Amino acid sequence: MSHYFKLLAMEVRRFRYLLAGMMLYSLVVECVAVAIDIHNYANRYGVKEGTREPGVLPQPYSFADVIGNTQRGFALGIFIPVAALVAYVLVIWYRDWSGRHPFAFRQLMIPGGRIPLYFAKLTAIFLFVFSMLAWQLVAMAILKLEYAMVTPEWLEGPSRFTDAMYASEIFKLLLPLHFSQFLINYGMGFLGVLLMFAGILLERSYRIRGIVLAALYLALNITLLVLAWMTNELSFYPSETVAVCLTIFGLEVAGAIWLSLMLITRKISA
Amino acid sequence: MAELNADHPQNIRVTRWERFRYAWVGALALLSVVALGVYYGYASDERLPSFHLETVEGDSSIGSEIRLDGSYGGRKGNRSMQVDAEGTRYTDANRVGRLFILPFSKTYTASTEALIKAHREFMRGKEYGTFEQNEDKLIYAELVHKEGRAILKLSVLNKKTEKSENYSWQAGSWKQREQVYIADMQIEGELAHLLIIRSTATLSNESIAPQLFDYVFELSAGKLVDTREIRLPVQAGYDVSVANRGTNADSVHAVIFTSRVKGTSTAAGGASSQPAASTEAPIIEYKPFIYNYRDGSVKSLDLAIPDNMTHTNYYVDGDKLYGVTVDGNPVSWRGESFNIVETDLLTQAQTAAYTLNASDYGGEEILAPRFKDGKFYFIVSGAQAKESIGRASTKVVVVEAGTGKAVYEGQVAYEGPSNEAASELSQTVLLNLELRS
Repeated sequence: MSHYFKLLAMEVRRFRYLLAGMMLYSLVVECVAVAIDIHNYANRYGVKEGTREPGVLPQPYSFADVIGNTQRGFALGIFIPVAALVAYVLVIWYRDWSGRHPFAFRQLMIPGGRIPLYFAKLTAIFLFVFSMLAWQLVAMAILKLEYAMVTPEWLEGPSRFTDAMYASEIFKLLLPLHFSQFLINYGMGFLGVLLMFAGILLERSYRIRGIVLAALYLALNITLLVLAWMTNELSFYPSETVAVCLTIFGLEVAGAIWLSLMLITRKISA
Repeated sequence: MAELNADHPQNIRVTRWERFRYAWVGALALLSVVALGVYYGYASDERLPSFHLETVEGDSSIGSEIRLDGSYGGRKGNRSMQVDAEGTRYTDANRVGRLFILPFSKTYTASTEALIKAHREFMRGKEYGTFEQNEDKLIYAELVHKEGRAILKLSVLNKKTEKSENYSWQAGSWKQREQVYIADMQIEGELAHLLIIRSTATLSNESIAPQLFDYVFELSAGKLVDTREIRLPVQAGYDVSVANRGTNADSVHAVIFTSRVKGTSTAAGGASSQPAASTEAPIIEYKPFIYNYRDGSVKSLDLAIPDNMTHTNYYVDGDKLYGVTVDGNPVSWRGESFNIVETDLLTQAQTAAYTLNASDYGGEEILAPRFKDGKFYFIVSGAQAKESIGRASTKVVVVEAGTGKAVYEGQVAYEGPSNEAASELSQTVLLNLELRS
């Protein structure tokens, strides 16, 4: 277990500056997007020109309205970190094989077996993903403060935190209001990472042939999932379709972990 | 001793380093658990309000058969909801995972939901066809297209034993541009009648020369015993529709309406030519007929056709025909009142006529008429709330079809502090009524 934690700590250390940078980047971009949007809205009512007629009150502009109207700003602030995290699923393995004296050689030789290495990398990816999500929630609290400071008093409107989250199309996917939906979204993400890890290990084990095998393996898993989903078209009740989907999901998760562990312990070499 | 002393500071450094090594992991894990835990434990809960249909007057069992569909607009974006006597169900709250929307978010009509609850195995895969039932049997019919042929599938459930039988037969061809559908289904003793309409659509989507067939199926023997073509004594070039059926089984009548744009001439072969283009709405002529399932006879029905026929629904219930017409609103199924007319199909005499006014029940609009077991169900909604999409109140009124006497009155009530009720109710829009049957 201590090997696992040491390896996890090492993976986190290797990514810490990039993670901190992504957190800072998304916060700055979102803060700027919110500030610009509030500024533009206020200017529509003649604040800039000082022509706002006293007594004429514009429609209140709530925090949820601001979030709903800054979709592109949030997309910019979130998509790049998401893309970086997706890319890191590959990089977390391949960086160990880069260079003249691959670090993977030492990693694969450490006492305590190779299994902790696999789980450390897997946990690290999830820690990064959930940290970014958690940071986004913290950022929303900071943005709410910014909204309170930047918005003219006569423009401020009440809104719930859930309204602000629901107003954003990205948050509907990344931080859905219902936990069950969160579990499904990130369960699928978890499966995606496991399949990519298995694909990478297939490639590392069998090189060119491994790429073909990985492609076939991914296609098989996607087909199975689509078939499970298609039971909805058959004479199945929704609860039965869900049960079939969850069973296939469980089998695919177990299969991906089993294949990866088998490859990393028996086949792969530096 | 000297060696031990020399090692001591190094050991301390290692321990401190070990601790620091896990600091990032600990910090990120703590951030994730706390932020996501608070969000999903508390902050993400929308605390959507709950409502229920409260019985104000009459038998509460009538209210338990009713489901109101609509939305709540008190949050960013409307939330779809269903309200019944037991409470509120937010249907979009079940939408789990955008990748898997369908299996998770599927909802059924109130009547289908009730049938699934009662006969789960029989109802498997049966949703889009036609149902009919009496005390002993539940039958389901569906028309499917197969290689240019219309296949009529019939499933018969014995409600007592929960055993079912499936039958199918070819109901003619199903060519391109041809519409074939089940217009009515009726159980008459041991016979099931399936009224099929077949029509061909022209390029301008008008149907020409519709044909009606009554497929008579003997339930006890499990075989098709007769196929009758129903010939209506009208010229070609008409369209055809069949009155809705109440849930009164063992009725022998079907009321068929033929319609044709006034002034159209009939060309050879049944196609009709259109009158010259006009800015005025075309006048449609209607001719109703009574078809008797028992003996296969067709009789002309002497019925006063209301002006607003496009917003009139007809229901057959035993020997009675009920027409319900929205009053004063030619473009919508909601208005200040509904006119209801009862006609005896045996004597062809009008036996009752009355008007239901929304104002009589404290509302502004009356809408969503439904009919079941000799009773009409309506929604009576209050005035549009200020600065909100909702209605100040939503009531349900059920009246005896023959007399117009109210047998049930219910209203949507807020389940929360009374000082919040008015503002929460003003965010609700419930404009659809469904019945469990």
